[in-house]
Amino acid sequence: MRPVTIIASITTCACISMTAACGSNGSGGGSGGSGSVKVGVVTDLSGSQSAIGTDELRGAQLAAEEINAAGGIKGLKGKKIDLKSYDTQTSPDHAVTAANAAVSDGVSAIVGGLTSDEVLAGTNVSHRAHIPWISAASSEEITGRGFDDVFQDLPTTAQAAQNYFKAIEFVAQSLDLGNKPTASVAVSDSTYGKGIEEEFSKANSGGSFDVKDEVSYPPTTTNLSSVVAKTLSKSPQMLINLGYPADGIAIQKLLATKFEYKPKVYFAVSDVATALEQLGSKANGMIIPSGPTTDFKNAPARFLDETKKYTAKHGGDAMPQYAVVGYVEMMMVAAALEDSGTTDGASVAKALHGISLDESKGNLYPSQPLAFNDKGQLTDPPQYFVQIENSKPVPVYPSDIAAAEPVPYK
Amino acid sequence: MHLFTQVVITGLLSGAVLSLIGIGFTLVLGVARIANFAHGGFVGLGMYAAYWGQREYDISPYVLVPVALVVLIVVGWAVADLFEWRGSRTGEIGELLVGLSLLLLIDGALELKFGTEPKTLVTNALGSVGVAGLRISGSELLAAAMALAVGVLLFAFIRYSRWGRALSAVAQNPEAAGLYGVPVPFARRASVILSIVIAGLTGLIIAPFSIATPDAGATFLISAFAVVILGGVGNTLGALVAGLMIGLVEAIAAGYLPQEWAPLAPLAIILTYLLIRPVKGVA
Repeated sequence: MRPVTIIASITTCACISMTAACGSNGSGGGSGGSGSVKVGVVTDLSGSQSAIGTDELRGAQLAAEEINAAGGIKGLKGKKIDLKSYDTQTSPDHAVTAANAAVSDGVSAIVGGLTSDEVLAGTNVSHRAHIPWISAASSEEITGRGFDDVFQDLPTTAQAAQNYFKAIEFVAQSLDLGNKPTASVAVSDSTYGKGIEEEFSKANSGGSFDVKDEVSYPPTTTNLSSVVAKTLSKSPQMLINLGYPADGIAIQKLLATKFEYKPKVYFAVSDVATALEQLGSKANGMIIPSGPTTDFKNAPARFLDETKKYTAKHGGDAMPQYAVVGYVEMMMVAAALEDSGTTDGASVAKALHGISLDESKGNLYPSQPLAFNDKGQLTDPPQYFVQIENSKPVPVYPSDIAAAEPVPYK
Repeated sequence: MHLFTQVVITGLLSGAVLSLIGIGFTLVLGVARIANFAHGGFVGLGMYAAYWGQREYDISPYVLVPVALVVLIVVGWAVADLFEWRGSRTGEIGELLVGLSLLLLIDGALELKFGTEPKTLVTNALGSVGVAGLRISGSELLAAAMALAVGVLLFAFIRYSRWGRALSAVAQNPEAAGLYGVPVPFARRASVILSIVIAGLTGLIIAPFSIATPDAGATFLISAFAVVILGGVGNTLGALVAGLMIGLVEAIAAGYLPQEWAPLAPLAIILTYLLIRPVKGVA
């Protein structure tokens, strides 16, 4: 075949493909046939975050099954949710491919995505097609670009840092550490760690804590002994780690096994399940952010019900945090579809700005109804804190969910 | 608080680990002239083996040592053959690619089997001693003793034994060593096997006080290069001293220097040393 013929053939094929693709995207979202409405779960089903990405998908599936079993979306004449999943492979590049596939399939909304880089990349695609996307990734930039169809349903970095500050302040008061308790802060020298530290420092601008030392360490540090030695050298009442979950666990291991000096409080941005799996009883005393658990005082009945359904289907003894996230995201989309009465993406995005998701509509968190502000962030993002005691997470903050008072780190 | 004493102790202990990793790497680089990029990967394999043994079967990492020794000799033999096979066809580039491929293979396999979450063991099988507000575990002391023993014994072996001098001869001039009757392929194979055995056992020994991640191999590889640069290619005693020095400088810098400067301290030491040191080969 002559080169000119080959080029002409390729060009023709490309034009046909583009026309077909434009045809399926043109409405900016749509229904998957007369009886269903397509919703995409674009998340990490393989790669480093696949465990929690799978949890998120399972949570969304549980919600979709319930909506369909209850007669579908009433505002759309009972159309059923047709859930479609797309794997980002925990990579921004694949997130773009997955987002393109979802848009081509004509989804009315997208939920999912755990790392900020992939959500930033993927939402560039969905925004062009006017498809709303709700994600749990934390970067401020996700909703800071002025896209009116991008939403965050967990605390952003700034919101989380402010919550950490309030939680630590509460714990210090509960333990009666004095007017201005002393603290040392170990910070991961990464964009993430620095971002949290900056917001944390802003929250502490009133001087609630007397920060004796702030030690920064490269994210590649494999041995944090010297960092811990330095943070403890001024005998702080509190040790605060603002870094990745693995850092918090590594520091806890050192505190529990290597250093004789113990602060009264050790707070780490870590993960409860991993800390318990890795350290067992050596994790005792840590204070960690957490998702909802059945041990919460006044845990919502709906959360307890859904936990039973989830564990009956997938095993385990709890509904993982990101399964709750996936469930709530799907319920948010369902509420917006009901309110908008259309499968058009732009209209669904507009409706999302006005939703108020209470327990009856699918909010599993023990908090006020979930609602988005103008930027697309939650006005009162759910965040809870537990202390590991006797190898179990005990809810300690906020007080409306606390099952016990915090105890001094030993 | 005893900050200085604490950072010196933690620095020497972490330095001993760097020494152990560097000793095997410098041996194979000096004798077989192979930059075995997979060296750190075998350390990582040892760490995960310790984790797997304890989690799945509640076996202490130290109980696994005899089994690991046999497995590592067999694996080392196969890897040495692989290096020889590629090296004979494509030269040093082929050997480098074999090492790099093995490193990626090990990292990928570990990620597949254990996921990306860091893994750590909590064991106090060897007890601990208290010094200056620190609890030093028996595992850390064992690693330090192993570094000291391996570094000194290998140095003495290469310098003073007949077989060691043969290894040294292979390192300096393989063709001439062959003409004098030294079995060059055997010497190269022995150095690869020995380095892999040291790497794997290092992983087992350090697992109780380290954090294992699938990409630990690459991190250890960088440490091994730093030790070789400072200690001299093929110089096991130099690797021992270099590892301890890097660990100490890193710890003191983390303890005392402003946070922006601390990570640069070990690099500054290496750079300075490179500028002033004489070029040295095998001990």
